[in-house]
Amino acid sequence: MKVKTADVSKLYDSYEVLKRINMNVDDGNIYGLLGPNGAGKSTLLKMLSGLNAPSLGEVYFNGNALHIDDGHVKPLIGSVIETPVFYNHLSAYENLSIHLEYMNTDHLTIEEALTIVGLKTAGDLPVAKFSLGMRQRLAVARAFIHLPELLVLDEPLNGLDPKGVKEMRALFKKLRGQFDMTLIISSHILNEIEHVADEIGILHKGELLTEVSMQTLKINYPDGIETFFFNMTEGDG
Amino acid sequence: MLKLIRLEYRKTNLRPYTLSVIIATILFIGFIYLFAYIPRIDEDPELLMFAEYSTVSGLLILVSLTTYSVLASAMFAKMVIDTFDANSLTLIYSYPVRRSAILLSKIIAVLLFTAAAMMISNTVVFTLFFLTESISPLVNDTFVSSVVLDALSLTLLSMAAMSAISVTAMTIGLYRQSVPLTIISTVVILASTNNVFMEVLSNPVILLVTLVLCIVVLSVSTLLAAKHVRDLEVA
Repeated sequence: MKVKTADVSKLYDSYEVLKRINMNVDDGNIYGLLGPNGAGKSTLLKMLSGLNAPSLGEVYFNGNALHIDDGHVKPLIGSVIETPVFYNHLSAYENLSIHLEYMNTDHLTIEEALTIVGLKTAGDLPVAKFSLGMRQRLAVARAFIHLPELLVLDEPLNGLDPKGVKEMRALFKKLRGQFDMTLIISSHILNEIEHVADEIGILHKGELLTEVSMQTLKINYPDGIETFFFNMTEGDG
Repeated sequence: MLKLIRLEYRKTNLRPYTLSVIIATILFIGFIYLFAYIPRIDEDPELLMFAEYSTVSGLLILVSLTTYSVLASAMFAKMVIDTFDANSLTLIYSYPVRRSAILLSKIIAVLLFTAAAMMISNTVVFTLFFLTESISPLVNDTFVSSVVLDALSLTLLSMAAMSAISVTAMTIGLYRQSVPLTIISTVVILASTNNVFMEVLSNPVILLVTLVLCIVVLSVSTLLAAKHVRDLEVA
């Protein structure tokens, strides 16, 4: 098991955003996290990335409890959470270079990473001049360039055109196949998750309603993921 | 830590700050000659205090302290307050570096830059002024080596004061996550301490006590800021 959560809850003041989440992500899988807006997806992903600590419960990574200031685990995780932040006056190349200096681990070359996400020719441009889609591609490059074991991607297809979405889908499969990464991807675009995920979890009003493999889901819901999703969330989403 | 500080400089566009230092130094040169020339403009006996090197040096040090405290606060606003806002936290907290170490590297990077700028700037201004004074004096006072030593010790003290003032203001701004509050805090602290600083200039014992006080304030402010960033949540 790559990632496991044990009764994880998150409270902001007295409001319980996540309620006793027990999530299991197998090694080498692509896990799709689905849920309507406000379900708590980003909150959960921040804890799985080691950015925030749970209020209650534990997150386990490779069988060990994950702590927010654990310097040994952070290079093993790559993440794109919500709107990516960059050093805008610096080029894409310099942004990745600084990231690698912090991570201080084996990595792809910057040229390789930029080529993989289709930004090879834009490497020297300041990020301030990037479009939303280019920023999203660069964020994904930054998340995998240090070859993490776990990639946590929160709405990674935001801002991408249909061609970009298709390319990114192929990239996720490549990262899993070629680099043995485990991916957790959240999205509100149900069809996109359906195309890439091995397993999906549905989060609704702070609760993880179910975890099911795509194989099982396709047998039980031949119509597709939408019917399943709306059945589970009683039409919300 | 050295690597973290170097990375802070790589991430920051230092050009506007360097330009500010150059402009400030040019203005300081103008100020020091203006202070020295004031008694010649007007024969008012109250202005005779300007006819002493200690007053001229002290005034220049006050102007320099004010300028570099505001500059340090502006840098803290950009490099610390903006970085530790809810959105940017996702980036810096993904690095395998302790949160307090990130903050400390930023504080040291800002203080190294501003302290070095202050030292270079004051050295340029005082060297030029004392050089011209040794040839053709404007100030009606005896120019002896202690004048130069006093200017040097005041510069060192003002570097400590600038560090304490700007880090305290940064900590206040950090707790409220507010850039304006950081700058306003700097101005308020400067306004309330400038009179004390003028007294310090004439008394070596108070000077030493002030120096120790600056170091204590700097340490406490840094610890409070470190505690705050350890507890910060990515929103």
